[in-house]
Amino acid sequence: MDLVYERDLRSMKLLILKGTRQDEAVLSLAGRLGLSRQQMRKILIAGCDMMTLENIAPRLIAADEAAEGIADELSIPHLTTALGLLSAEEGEEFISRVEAGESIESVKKAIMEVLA
Amino acid sequence: MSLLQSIKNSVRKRSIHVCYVNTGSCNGCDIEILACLSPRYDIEQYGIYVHNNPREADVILVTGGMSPQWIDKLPDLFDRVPEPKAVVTIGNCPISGCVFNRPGCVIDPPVSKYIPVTAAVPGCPPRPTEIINAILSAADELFKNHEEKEAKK
Amino acid sequence: MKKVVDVSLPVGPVHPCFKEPLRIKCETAGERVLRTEVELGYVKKGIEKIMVGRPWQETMFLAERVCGICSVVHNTAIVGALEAISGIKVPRRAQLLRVILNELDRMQSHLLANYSYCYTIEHETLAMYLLNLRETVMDAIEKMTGTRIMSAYVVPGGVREDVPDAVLSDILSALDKVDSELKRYVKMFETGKLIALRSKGIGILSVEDAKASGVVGPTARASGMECDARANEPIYSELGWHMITRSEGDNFARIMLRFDELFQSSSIIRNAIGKLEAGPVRLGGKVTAGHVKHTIEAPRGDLTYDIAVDENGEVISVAIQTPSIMNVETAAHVMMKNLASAADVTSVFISADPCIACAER
Repeated sequence: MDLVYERDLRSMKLLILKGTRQDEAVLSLAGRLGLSRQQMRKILIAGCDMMTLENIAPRLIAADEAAEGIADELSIPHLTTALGLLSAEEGEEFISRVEAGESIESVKKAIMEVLA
Repeated sequence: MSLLQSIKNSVRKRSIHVCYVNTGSCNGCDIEILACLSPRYDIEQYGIYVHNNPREADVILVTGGMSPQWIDKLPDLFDRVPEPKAVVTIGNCPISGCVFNRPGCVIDPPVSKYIPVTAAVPGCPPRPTEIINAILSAADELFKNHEEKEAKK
Repeated sequence: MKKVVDVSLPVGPVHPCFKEPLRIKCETAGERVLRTEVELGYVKKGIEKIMVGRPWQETMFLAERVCGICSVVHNTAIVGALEAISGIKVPRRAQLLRVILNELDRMQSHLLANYSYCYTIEHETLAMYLLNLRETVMDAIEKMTGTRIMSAYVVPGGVREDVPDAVLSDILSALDKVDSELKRYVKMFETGKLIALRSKGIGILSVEDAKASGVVGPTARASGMECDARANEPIYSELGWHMITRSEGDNFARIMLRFDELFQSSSIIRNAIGKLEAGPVRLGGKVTAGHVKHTIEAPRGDLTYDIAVDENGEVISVAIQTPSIMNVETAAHVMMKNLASAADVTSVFISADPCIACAER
């Protein structure tokens, strides 16, 4: 009898992301970040647990309401408070980099590198 | 029947430990099992104790139609239950999958494919009295003269 | 998920305190819980997928079996969505009967939630009192609909059958019993010193966190958020419903809020029975194509059915957003963040009234 405590959850996570509401939320976030649906799914499956994936739609809606200015353009509230893919300090750092004069495109690229 | 066996029989009759395992039910059957605990039905007056711990259980109550996570875990859990043991399934789901067994679903009934099932209580969900009745009658038959039956094998 | 510390303490899937299976992996530093990861998939059935392509007569029964504890509200929600699509009118008596059954369902669900909490903090006496009181409410439901759970009482255009006056007076006497007994139990809970030690100041959810995570229902109201879908239904305001909120946001507040709502539900039922007039309980209607997002208040919070049907009454797409999705997620990721003791994990989790069958469907 072997006790398997850690199972591969990727197929079950994908099943959750295929739900109607979850799929809409994933597509809208992928559109924000300029990714394809599959790339977005891959990041989410690697970085979030199953319960966050179930709750992804209300969380992203709450982040949409909270986001404004530079944070909105970089989707920082979505990645930090809503999904926890980045820590709050990392989010602050990216915002301050834009405020220091770096272009939004290059900071977005840096965010993608951290996520990938 | 030896004296030891008759003592064991009478003790076992008044001490049945139950563990319930939800393998993908809708909660209806689990709630009816919980209702058995209430003083109205008072499952403990028959010597049935709900501990929900497979290591000290005699009877496992299975509700639900085998969702993907349980397919390897339920036989594992069954192995950990000490002998003598019995499995009683509650509700329609472990028998046939009930309304969930349709193309596109992720469950894989029946439960008897994975572990040996002693008794089944159909119903969606069955009443608490039926559940108590099933546990009592299945446990009585199965645990009586257990050691002598084992020796004959 | 990325691991922060080495010690991962798994709780579940078979656990004495959990009614349903799920595994919470707590990453701990000593006694302190730093963060948790939830592993689901134990009760996944794929109900939304089964519903697609089926006529609504079948989806009605499937919707009821999303959750066994609050089956009535799922039934009411999907029927309400279909009525909103097709413009079917519901007679006044049927509307009131629906309110009565829904509030009875809310009462038994809240009693069960509070039973689970008392059982989890090992106050078994109070737990058994509450569970026995729940049987009184279940009897009232059985007398009204004919079965304890999965009654399929609400049908498009009204309710399945009329309720005779004798049954209504039985329900009233059951409510009298619940009210008088419950007062004693609430006093036990409110003044019990050991209960206060194990409940007050544990698992705090602040208003800001509640808003960011989209938590709903009693869990949100105990944190001071005014969030109740019954506010949008004129029939509830007419029957004396008002918003109950508490500001503490800890385990104690969540349980006390449910006790308060029990008394409110009971008074709503009394008012509804008082307003019942003779009349039809079921009218016909014609199903049309359409798409609707219908939200009603389940015992655990806002329940949304996002459903599209074609002109034959077949479901094209459906998305069920149950309150437990938000509440379980918040309980696991916000309330349990930096929890002082790993022993509080189960009680914090149960205080949010989790229903995994709802959360996974």
